[in-house]
Amino acid sequence: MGGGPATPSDVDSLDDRSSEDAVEVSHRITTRTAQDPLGARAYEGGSTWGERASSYDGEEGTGEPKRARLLYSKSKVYLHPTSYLRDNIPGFISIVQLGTSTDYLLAWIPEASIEGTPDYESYVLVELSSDSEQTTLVTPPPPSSAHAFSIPIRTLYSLQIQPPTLSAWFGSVTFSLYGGDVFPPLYFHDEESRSTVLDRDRRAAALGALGADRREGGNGAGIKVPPSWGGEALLGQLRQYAQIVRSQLEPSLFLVNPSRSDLEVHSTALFEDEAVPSEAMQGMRLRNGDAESMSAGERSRREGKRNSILHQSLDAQEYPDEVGPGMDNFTFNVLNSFSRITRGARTAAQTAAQSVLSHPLAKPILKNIPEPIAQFATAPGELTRLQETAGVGAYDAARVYLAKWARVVAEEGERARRAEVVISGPGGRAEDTEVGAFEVLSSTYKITRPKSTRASATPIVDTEWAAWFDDHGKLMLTEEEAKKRIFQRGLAHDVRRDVWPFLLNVFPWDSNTDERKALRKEKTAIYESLKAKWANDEELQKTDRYAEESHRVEIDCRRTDRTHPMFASDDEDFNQADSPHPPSNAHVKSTQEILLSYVFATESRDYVQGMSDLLSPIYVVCEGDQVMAYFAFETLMERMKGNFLRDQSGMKGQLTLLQGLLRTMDVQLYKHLEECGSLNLFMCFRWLLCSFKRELSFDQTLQLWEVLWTDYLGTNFHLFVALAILEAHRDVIIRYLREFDEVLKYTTQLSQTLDIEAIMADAEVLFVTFRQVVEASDCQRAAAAASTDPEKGGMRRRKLVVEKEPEEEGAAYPPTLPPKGKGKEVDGLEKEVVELAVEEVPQVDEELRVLLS
Amino acid sequence: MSSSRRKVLLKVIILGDSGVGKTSLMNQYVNKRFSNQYKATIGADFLTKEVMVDDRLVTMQLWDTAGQERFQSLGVAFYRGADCCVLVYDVNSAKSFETLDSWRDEFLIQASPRDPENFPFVVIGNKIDMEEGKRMVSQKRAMTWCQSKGNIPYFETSAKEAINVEQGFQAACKNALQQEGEADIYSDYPDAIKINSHDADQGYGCAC
Repeated sequence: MGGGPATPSDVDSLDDRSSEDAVEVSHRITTRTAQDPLGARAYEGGSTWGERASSYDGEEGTGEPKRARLLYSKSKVYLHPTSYLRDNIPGFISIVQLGTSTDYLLAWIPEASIEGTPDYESYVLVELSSDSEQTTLVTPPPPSSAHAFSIPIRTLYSLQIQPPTLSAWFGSVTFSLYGGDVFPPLYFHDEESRSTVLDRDRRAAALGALGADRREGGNGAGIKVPPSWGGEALLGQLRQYAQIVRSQLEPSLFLVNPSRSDLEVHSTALFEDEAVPSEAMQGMRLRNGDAESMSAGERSRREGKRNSILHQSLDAQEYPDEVGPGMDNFTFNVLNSFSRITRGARTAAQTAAQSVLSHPLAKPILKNIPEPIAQFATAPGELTRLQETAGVGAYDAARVYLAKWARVVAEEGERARRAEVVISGPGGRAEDTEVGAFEVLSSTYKITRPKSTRASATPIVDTEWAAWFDDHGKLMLTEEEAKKRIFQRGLAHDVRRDVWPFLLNVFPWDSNTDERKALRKEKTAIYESLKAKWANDEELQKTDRYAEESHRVEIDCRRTDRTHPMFASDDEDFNQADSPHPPSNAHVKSTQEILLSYVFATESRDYVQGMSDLLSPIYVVCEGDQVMAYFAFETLMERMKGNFLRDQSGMKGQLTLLQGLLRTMDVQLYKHLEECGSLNLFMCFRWLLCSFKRELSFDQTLQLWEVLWTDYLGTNFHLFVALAILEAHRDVIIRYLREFDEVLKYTTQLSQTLDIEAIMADAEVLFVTFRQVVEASDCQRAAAAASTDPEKGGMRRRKLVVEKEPEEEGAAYPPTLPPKGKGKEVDGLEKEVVELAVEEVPQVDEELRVLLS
Repeated sequence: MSSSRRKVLLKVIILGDSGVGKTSLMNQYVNKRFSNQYKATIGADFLTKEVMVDDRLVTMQLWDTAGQERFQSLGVAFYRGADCCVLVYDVNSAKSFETLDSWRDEFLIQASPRDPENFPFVVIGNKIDMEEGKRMVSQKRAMTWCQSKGNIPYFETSAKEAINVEQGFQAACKNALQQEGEADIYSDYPDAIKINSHDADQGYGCAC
């Protein structure tokens, strides 16, 4: 990671007692302040504080807490844990020295924690005292608590400074640490802070004198202008303990003791016409109410300053009013940069996009623009992962790069939102979980959004599974009920070995223990004979067919899931010396045997790439039991053999169905893909061919497959899964991607980034929505037919619906005008009112009805 | 970056039997790394690499494809607009060499370049890091075939040991550029319209 903010080794080697602690706490602070007043309450209890303080004492190895020298203090620096005024927490920001250590600490503690103690007076005293020689001792600030922190100044990476503006009443400073942790912004309530009020008065006097000086032609050098607001005062103090450099790329960003590479990055104009945003920034600042008017001379002086020297730092005294831009400016600047990227020529765009995301500026940016991006900040390594996924040296078109970036940000936002929903309890904000397609559809069909019935938090465990069977080992539930439960809750891993043989028809659902024993015996014999067919037939082994098939099977098995523990080892017994193939082991060999037995079971089968991917999870779940794995695999192949037909007709059919589904459900995305030349949905080819195996982690694959195999929502539920993935990325695709290759690259790189739980829940919602659309469409057609030909049309349509939908959805919603009001609960789904849109309702292709069966 | 020099995007398709090392070659060329953990390619994917050819900045878009012949029928989706085709075989597998003919023919059918006779190919015999005794296709045999197909440039490589990989792809790049001719070079990626205009040109049709 060339440009990223590397943790310097000296930070690691800090013997400071709190560096690790502080980092850990910063997470908590960040999360807490994101949404709730809980943290504040927890603090008020005071317990966290006490524990932390005592553990700290213990680390020092003395009974008596050491005293710390208070070097600087400023009052009325607030945390704003929520957007409510009542939750604001006032505190002191301070700089302290422990013993004679040169590791100065930056600390913030709530007022309430020291109120009534001698420390409180010390803090107040130091705030107002200008005598830096005087030594004031206080209890060392706690390394961490619910809402307090102290960190060595040298672990600071950057400050994000937002001065007060007319729209943002309180200026703020946000501290970022090496390693990417970010503290919540501290707000300076200047009107309440005595030191700032004092400064103000002095400042007014000084400026008056300065003005007089200027008029008289003097340079005013002798007059010291105090800072205008608390953040500036703090910055001035910090400069005594660290080199602080203002980024030229982003004027609100201040780097602390920047490394050489950071300096280089932050002193290089990112864009050739960098002067433009700079100019625009000035404009923005003025518009934002930085009321002080600027003469042309003054402006050019600033411009000259900004653009000339490597990394100049802000000289607060020389330019007392030159403070970082407000949030709006910051956002503007970033967006402006991105728009340049998207407009720019290819190479420029590539360089720019990579610079934006790889240099250290990216982190503060991601953390300080709007809410979802702020959440992004709390997922350390995300950016790194993103960059690694892109591959060293691999080139991504700038738009793909940006699209990926946008996706990660959006996903973080989504994750944060889900977390919030959990906190606020069920039913809190369900309307927010809309799938894009739904918004589009609900405007056409007046349908209410269905809810997912998935409850994956409580997968079926072995004891529960066992309880479904009677003493003879016969299932007491109906097959449908069992499948429904598996669909909704999924399986714990250790029960999969028992359940998958049922899902994959190796054992009938209504069999008992004895029958299964007999079946097992029978199947073992069958498998042995299938295996013998190729393994013991020397004539066959001389044929071209055998040579080809065994070669294909071997090379693919040897490169399938080799990171899974079962397949990972290289066993010398299975390797010919100097073989061109990757090494092998007993389990790899075993999967080869299963595939060859499958291929040579009939004359017409052959091995096709993708099959080894389908077999591997089954083999793992069957714990290497060849017989069980073989028959389970055979059933899976029955489901999926269309994908492997020589003429690719099966895959084409699948993609066509998906295309039709997309057109019905999200015509906007459909049209966009059409414009991108991507309507062939080739980017979904791999998804469907091996049932998302390549897109998901191994465990996620198991989770998805057992759900698909229940057929609870039809045998084509996987197409709804595909649609759900597309829908999750529709905004990014529509916004950023323009070409076939960009769409393909973007979707290919979604691999291993998908949230399978969210996708399955969305897929269910999409399925039910689609069903509603079909019903609404039928109702309308029936109504139209009835009005023109009451004898024929209506009846025929009614019949068709009932035939096509054995789940008697048709009966629940007869093809006449549906009843108003809340429907009944059907299938455990909260059933919604389907109101007919009187205006035109698009017809659903007949071919798509197969999706409901 | 500030240069106003025209930029070129070259689309290179890599074809050959499964397991001959297409993905490995591409990753060795673009990312300078080798792994024997690459999975079988399903569908298609691509990587891009910027190279200087003479004093021209060229972006190569290298398309990696599935090696099993039955997936070829999907090739039409991404062969279109190809500027060069790299045919790969495994020098330790006669079969993989013998199928080069059909890979080449199939490509010409599906990509339907406007001048199939002179469409630039490069042939790569991969896996020369294996011991000599394993070798099934002699250099002479391979070169004879290449000659018979219009003097296709031939390279023997090891993606594993990074032997000759750079040279092979560079040749692909240069030949593609020569083929293009200055007049056809389009600037400013991404510009699918220009890419697609290849196809439009193929008809030689006249609107009047």
